Amino acid sequence: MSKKPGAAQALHKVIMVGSGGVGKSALTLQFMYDEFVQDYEPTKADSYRKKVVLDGEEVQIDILDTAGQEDYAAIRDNYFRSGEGFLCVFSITEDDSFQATQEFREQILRVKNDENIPFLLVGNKSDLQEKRKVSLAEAQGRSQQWGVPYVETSAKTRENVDKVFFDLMREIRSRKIEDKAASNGRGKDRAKRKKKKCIIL
Amino acid sequence: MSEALAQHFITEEFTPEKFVKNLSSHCIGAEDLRHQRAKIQELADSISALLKLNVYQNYNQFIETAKEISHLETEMYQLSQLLSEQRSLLSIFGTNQNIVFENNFEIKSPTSVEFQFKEEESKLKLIQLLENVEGAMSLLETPGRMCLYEGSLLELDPVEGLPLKRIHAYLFNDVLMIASWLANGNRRGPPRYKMQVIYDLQSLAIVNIKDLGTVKLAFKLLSFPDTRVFQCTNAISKREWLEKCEQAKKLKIAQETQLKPIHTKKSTKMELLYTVSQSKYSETGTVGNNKIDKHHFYEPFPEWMLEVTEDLDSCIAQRHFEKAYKLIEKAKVFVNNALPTPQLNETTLKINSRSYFLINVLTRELELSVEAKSLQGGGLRSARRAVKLLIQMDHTAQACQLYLKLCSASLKARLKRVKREGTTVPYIKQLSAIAFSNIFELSQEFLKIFPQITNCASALVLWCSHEIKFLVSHLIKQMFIPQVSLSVLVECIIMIRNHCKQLTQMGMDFQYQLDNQLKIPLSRTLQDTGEKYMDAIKVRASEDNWKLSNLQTTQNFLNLLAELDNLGIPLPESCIKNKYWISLTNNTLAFAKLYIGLLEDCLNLITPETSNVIEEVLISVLQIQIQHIQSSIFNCKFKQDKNLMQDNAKYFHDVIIGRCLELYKSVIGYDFKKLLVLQEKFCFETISISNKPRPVPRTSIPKYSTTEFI
Repeated sequence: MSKKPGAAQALHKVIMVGSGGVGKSALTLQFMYDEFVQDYEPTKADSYRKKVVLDGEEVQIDILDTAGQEDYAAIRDNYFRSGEGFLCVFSITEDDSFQATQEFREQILRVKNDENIPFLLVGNKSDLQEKRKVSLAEAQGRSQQWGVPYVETSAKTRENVDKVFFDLMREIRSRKIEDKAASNGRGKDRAKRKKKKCIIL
Repeated sequence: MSEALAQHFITEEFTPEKFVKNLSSHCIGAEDLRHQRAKIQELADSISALLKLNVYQNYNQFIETAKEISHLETEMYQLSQLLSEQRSLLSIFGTNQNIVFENNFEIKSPTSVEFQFKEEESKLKLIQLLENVEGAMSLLETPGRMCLYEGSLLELDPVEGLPLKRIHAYLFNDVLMIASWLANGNRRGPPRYKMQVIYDLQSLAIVNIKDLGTVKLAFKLLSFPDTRVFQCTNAISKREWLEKCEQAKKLKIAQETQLKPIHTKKSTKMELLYTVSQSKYSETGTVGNNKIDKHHFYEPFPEWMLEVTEDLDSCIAQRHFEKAYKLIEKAKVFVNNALPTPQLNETTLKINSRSYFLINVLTRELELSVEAKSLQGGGLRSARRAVKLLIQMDHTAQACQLYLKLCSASLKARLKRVKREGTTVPYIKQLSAIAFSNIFELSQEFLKIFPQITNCASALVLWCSHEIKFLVSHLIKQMFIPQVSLSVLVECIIMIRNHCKQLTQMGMDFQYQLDNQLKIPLSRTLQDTGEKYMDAIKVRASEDNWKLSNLQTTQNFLNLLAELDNLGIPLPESCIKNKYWISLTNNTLAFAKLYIGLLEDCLNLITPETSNVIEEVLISVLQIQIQHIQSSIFNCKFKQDKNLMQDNAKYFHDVIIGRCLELYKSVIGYDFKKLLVLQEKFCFETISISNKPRPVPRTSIPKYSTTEFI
């Protein structure tokens, strides 16, 4: 149980959230294995791990592909608690899935109790422009409101797939460094700053 | 030679040096020595072979013993498992009883009684399961909990994927329990575990690890702050685990959605599953009272009912059959009125099997008494008891059959005691009397035991018929032998008929059967008798010298008159010639007596079936005598005796044939037509020719005879 080698290689835990059928698993599988799965089969909860090179550093990414529908809030909370960063996915062809992101965001914030949790709003199925229901402006508006990046992807064409994962990993990495620094001495400050921000909001 | 050598080696004082010295001193030349050497070599070879064989045998024995030991070992293991099972069963009984007494208001709706049993059963399994898990007995407190899946898993480090330790996991319908292995000093017996942690399925996130580098067949549990990874032994096991977990979760959700409306209704199974425990502690007051109003109490069996099977066994064993029957009936009534529960069903099955057993015992009893040698009537009396019980238990047909068999046996035994002594008549008389009166008695007894059962009545009729048939065939063998005359036979047959008539009192008439059986031998005997008579008549006719009969004394004369009067063939006055002389020959008188006797016998026997034969016999016998008279009349040798012959012929015509016709008509009810024809012919041919011709009045024979002779 020596933790030395593990500590050498960073592990970033990413969680895919979003309504059912928006393409969470498709994005994950495209990222993991460079393949697009046409058949839809609802996911229960699958976990993947991959070694990637992030800005010249070899790290591991742990992806938890969650179910769009989870009956027990407590179970969903347990998923969220285990994550360090979130890809909140919706389908640009489905407005409901976009609306649902609001709820996911709230739940994540509640569970993680952290406004600055690494978080990306992902509009998937960008290859289906003709079926677009959610406008770019609308999505961007929401991401700005939350203070998170918005990226449009296509699991089918692999457009921006690597980008969302890598962007999120970078955020996670920077957060970890920040936290390390904070726990090393500026913990109080950070807590203060956070508190302040909450008050302002 | 080599054996002698071997013996030599075995001896205690054997020393190699001495042996060699001896050998070399005895042997002459190198050849002999070589020969000795070869011998010793041979011995050594055979000994080493023997040694090998020995070793091999020992080795085989060792293997067998080892096998036996391992066999015994498994047996011991099984035994210990059985013991532990029994122990757990006992402990369940203990706890169940406590539950019954503790929660008197643990109410069950009729449908839920069965459910309760299911629950108990699953609880039983649970107890067996958790027995091996230290510290897990608290899991038993939740009602309705059952184990859906269990298995050993390998826990991995969640980050590195390195194996940590082996654990045993139990999936229940509501929780997942992880238990660690306990070092088991004794390597036999079931493995022991120690409960580690319980995860509520409502909050446990189970993640299928699809890709963890080199780690395969793993899944992850997320229950903040724990993240645990477990590895399954194979793909099937992993799939089962995930599927079962998903099932459990779905089941729980389904139950919860059902549970909500139930809280207001308070009457289904789910409530029992999940709210009984709550209601016990929190909602006691009002809710509890409502429940009591709505449901029955679960009533345990009364004490006698619990012991009914044992009691039945002992009753049957002690041959208290009536008591056993009453107990069965009582139990059946109870079962019919009670609510159906598995326990009840089981008891019903047991009771049914006991009642079959009882029937078997009773049947066996009857069968044994049929076979028994000594049937002093007690057999039947004791059988009555068994038969009555069998009838009560709806086995009437069987009882009837067995009882009739018993009747047959008893009848046979009684008839065997009738020894054949002396003449035929008393034997036949006694035998048929005893047989028929016994059949009568047995039938009466039978009707008493089987009243109002029509099937049995027909069986009785058949039985009687069979018995009578058997009896009559025996009697026929005894009666129809040459030594027995027709008159004796007639006496016997009449007697048998009379005995047979007894049965008509019970509405059974077997006379037709009797007659039918008698018909063939009887016809033969009749014909034989007829022939015998004819032969005798011929002999006497040839010796006939046509003389008046001289009775010599008045006494003889009067005796004859009385005798003939008795026979219905009175002597006409015209025939009395002198003081002791009558104008009838001895031959005629003898024939008249004989013939009337034959006629009476025949008429006693006559039945519609035999009437033909009888008539033929009677006619042919009479014809022979008539022929004799006729031939005598036309015989010149007896010319001077013509008057005598006329008188004889007249006597025949008027008195004998007349009497025959009269008797026949009085017995049978109609005229003996053949005889009438014969009479007419006789009259025409004999009397009219020899005498002055005159018309014969056909109808009034008595009148004719009187006017003619007076």
